[in-house]
Amino acid sequence: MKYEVLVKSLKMKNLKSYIKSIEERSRRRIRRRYLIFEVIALSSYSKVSQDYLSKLIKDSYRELFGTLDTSLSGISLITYNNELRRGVIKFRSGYKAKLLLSLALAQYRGRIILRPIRTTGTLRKALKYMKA
Amino acid sequence: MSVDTNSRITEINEDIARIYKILGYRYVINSSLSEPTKIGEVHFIPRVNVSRDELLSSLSKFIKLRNNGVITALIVNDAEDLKEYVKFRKALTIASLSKNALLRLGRRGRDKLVGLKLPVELCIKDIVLSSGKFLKGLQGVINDLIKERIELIITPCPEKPYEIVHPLILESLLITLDVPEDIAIKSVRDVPLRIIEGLGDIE
Repeated sequence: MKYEVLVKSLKMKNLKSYIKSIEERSRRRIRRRYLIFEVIALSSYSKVSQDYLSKLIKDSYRELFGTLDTSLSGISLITYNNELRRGVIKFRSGYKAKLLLSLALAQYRGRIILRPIRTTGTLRKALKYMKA
Repeated sequence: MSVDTNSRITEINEDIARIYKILGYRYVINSSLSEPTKIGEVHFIPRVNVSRDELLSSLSKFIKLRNNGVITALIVNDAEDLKEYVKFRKALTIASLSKNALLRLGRRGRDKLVGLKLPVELCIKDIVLSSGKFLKGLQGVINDLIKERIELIITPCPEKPYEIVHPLILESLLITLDVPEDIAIKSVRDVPLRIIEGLGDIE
């Protein structure tokens, strides 16, 4: 009898830890997001390069939220089309508000206007919206 | 459709109107205008910034201005600017918090702000470009906003065209400061629109 109770309690313990591990796994999984943005031309507009934009956005993010948060957010400018003046920024979900706020600082520092267009879950869709 | 309640751009032209339109703004309240104008689809409405002393010295003038469709904004630097606010409340549309107020507005000042029963205006520029200073006043105002003691308006306050910020970025500022999303949307879209609606028909 005692043996059966012990087995049952062990099973319960295993079950609990199994459920906990599943919950933690789902919590740990951070999805990628893609933000499509546009650089609005001012009358004094001169073309900006992808490297310049990438540095500008990352530096602005770092200035506002620090180095650790910058690496955790995983932001990177994937592509920027100079003719369309549109680009795609990859970031981890949950960091959208912070990324958008850093765009404001990027505007002040770079003297350009950035318009967020849309956020997607896949790069394919992001590229589609970028060219649309 | 959004409203920029505190534009400080001195040269209003088609290029500025185009930028505002692309970013989703339809109404712009500008402090350098004397009469309302419309360029393209964007309405430009005049605004007057006043200090407490100016307001008390010529109160009837500001009441008249407000009744004629001009937005009157009290610039609040500290609690002293809100002293005896009952006297001049009827001449005002908005209470605008300056950089100094964000730094040092204490509980006493915030209680007066609540008593004023006017929308409180903040500039995103003052917060983003605060260079790491402890914004004691901002923290208190955000707490009051979350408790729904005050209504907040977040504006870009642009002085140059590149300082005009998309409304989504304004919302994200409040979300980053732990304000619930519905209150953030209300602060960026609904409260400024209600000020415009209070002016009646705009041509």
